[in-house]
Amino acid sequence: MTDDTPISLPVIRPSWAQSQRLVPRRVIRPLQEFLRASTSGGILLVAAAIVALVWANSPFADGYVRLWGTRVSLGVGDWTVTEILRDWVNDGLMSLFFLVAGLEIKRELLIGELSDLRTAILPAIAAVGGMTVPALMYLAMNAGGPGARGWGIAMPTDIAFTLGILALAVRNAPAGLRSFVLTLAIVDDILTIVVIAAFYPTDIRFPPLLLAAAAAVAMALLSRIHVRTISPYVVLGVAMWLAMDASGVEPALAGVVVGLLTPALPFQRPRHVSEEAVRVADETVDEPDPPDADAHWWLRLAWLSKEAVSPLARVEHVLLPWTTFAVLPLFALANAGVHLSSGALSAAVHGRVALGIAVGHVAGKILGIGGAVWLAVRLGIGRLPEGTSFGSIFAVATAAGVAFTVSLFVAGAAFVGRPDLMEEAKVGILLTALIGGPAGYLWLRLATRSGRAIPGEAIDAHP
Amino acid sequence: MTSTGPGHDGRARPGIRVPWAHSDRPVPRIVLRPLQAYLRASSASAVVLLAAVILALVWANSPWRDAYERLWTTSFSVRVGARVITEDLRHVVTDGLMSLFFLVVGLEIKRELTTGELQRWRAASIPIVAALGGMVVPALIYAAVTRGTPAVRGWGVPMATDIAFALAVLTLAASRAPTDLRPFLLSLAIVDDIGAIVVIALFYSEGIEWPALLAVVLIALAIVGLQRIHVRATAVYLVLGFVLWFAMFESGVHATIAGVILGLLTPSKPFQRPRQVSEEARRTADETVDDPSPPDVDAGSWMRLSWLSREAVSPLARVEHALLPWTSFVVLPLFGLSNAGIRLSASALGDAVGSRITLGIVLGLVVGKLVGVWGSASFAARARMGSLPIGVRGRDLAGVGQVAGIGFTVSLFVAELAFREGSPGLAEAKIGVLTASVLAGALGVVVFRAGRR
Repeated sequence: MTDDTPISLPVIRPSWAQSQRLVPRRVIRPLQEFLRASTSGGILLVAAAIVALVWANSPFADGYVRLWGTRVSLGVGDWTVTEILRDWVNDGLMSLFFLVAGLEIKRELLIGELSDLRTAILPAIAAVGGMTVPALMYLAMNAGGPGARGWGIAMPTDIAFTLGILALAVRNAPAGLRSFVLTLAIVDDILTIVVIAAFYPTDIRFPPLLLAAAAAVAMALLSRIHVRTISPYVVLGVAMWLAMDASGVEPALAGVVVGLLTPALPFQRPRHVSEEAVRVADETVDEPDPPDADAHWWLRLAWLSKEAVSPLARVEHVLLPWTTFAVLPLFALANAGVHLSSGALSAAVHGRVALGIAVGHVAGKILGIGGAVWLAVRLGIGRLPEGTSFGSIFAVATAAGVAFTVSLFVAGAAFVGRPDLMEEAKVGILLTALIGGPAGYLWLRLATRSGRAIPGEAIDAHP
Repeated sequence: MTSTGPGHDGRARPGIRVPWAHSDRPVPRIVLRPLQAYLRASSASAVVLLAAVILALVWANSPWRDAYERLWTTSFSVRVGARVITEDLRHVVTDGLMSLFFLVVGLEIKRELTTGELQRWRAASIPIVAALGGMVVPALIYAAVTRGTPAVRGWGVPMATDIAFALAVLTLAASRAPTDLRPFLLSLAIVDDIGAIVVIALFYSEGIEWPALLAVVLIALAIVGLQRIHVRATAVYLVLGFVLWFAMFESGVHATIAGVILGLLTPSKPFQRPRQVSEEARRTADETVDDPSPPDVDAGSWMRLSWLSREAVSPLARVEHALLPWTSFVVLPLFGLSNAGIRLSASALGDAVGSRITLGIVLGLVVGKLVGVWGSASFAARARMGSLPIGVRGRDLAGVGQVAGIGFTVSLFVAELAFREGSPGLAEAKIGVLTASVLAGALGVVVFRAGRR
């Protein structure tokens, strides 16, 4: 997955995946191309969710429940960590997803749209509007009820789905629209993380929390004094995760902290590495005797050329394929399997949790994002990004009505010990996907129809 | 630990920013760099191991000896549903971490067989014969001493040679010995390792589970097949290697043998021709800019160059480079610390003095190795089965035979397998191994010094 070596250079020996053998040619390379497409993460996520739903309602439903409820524990002496398999995915593997989210937040804040207040203001306002309105609508429907605690479920946008729908509906989405969605999603992520950390811990214990903070400080100090070996950071990261787990705060958020602490600048100046590369090329021979006599030169060059890339880009390069194609699908598989018996469905319809999520999220996102942008533009606080119109903004807001990954995650944190409410929340989340997905797709196609002919040009279709 | 950092070659290069360990801050300058320079010396690993052994002995006989036992019997468990694997810390070290040590041994065996001394029969024949003699004679001596008792089961204990210690004594004591004596001892020790591995696999494995063993064979074949079709992703082999280790663990054959198999399966040739990578390095230097905008726009080129430069080095060298510091300075010292802590009470020592196990091991290692190696090497040289390295004389062979009697690590390892845990036999065997190793080392110094004067 990490080997991006193109096949066009015959002198470099291709690895199996790049060779002309049957399996790579017919299976692996088409698969890799699929994986490189921006929509494939979303497609795989949908597929995993469908598999989970079918499985949980098939004759093998018992197997689904038993598998994800398997208790897995690690023990050292008297000290043990025990979680069911689903929670190893939700608390453990999802840390990697949140780590990548942390890296993206950091990049946006330092060099992306969010580093400039003028470009950041509109998506930021849109994100805030798109979160408060759904939360308020949910609360209005659940006030005083047992599900009131779940207001955070209606808040987050699923970035993978929204971008996937955008890519499917509009072949060449205007750059302005795309970066608007991306920036909005990042602000959305930041706020959701704050909400999860601030409102959904289960009885916080401060000593472990202090330990987690100490691990973060240690990481910052180590990178200050130029410790660059990865192992101390991995150890500290695991320690932080364990401490967060013990503190009652969602342990996967440790990933965000690690992501934010990852340096965004390369350790070496590229020019100096270039000089070294030429030197190594000069000093090494083609057939050393004994073999590997030049090994230290090559390993040194491998090391230096890695250090010409920022740790942020390197960590993302390594983790992104895993989070997109392993962690998120596993998460969907483990969490989306709702048993849709008639009883459960009627409970979901009559209960206000599912309704609050479905209505609050779909309608709330349209009203919140669209309304906030409209207001901001009318008040002169911000300008519509190039190539967008109110129509396309409202269409994107509809696509943002799909609540999935992070909403499921928040539901798990909000309804601990209430499996009935959890099931209702899942039905609600699935409903948002059923409504928001097709509606967003259609609206995007309509809103950008005239814009498709001239990609990147302004879109004039008003609603 | 001794990673090839940007400052690895010791010379500061213009513009290259050094990491903390190579910087001029007080801790790296005063503590870390002298330590690293020391660790790079060839005898350092033996000294660290020796320190660990002494620490273990002192600890196990101090007022804190309960803590010693408690620490190494701490249980580690992994539970999945109803399936549980529980091991105490000592077995995590001997079955788990020692697999890494044996992996490095496997790599060294492979290198010797493909590009080293053992590749040419003329150079290899005498070390092979000497190693065989050095295994058979001690085993026979031990068997003769313990014949008729159940303790005869420990015949594999005095067969082994500890490469690190033997080489360290050779380096320290025989500075004026012929330079070819070192590869000679290395080849001998490697053949000795092969012998020990075969003995462990064949004679000290209990209740073989054939389906698990079949799984081991199938995974090994899968690894070979994947290499054939040029699958190079480390993750694939890491996973397969772990599964192979687990299958071996379940099979009843000692789990560390998995390390040897993986070492032998590691390719010894680089994937890329160095010349092609050099060209790529020049090209990357030309095509990248110093201040890219956006930052990391050249990331793809740099990652590619990093990847290619790694592939200009054989996987064997890469794996060894990554593991050797860990096995020398973490795994082996931990092994010494966890296994050498014998309680030397008056009664235990008294038992050992009268014990046939202790006697058999001491005689086997100190006398048997000397006689076996020296005798068979001299015989092979006389019979013109091969040629001795230039300048190597009979006395040097005697010295090699004597230091080969330092059985230490692998002897302790075999003792753990041959005798029941906590039994008096095991304690007697360990005392025997420690005594014999000290004696053989000291006598080795004497022989080398005397031989050169």
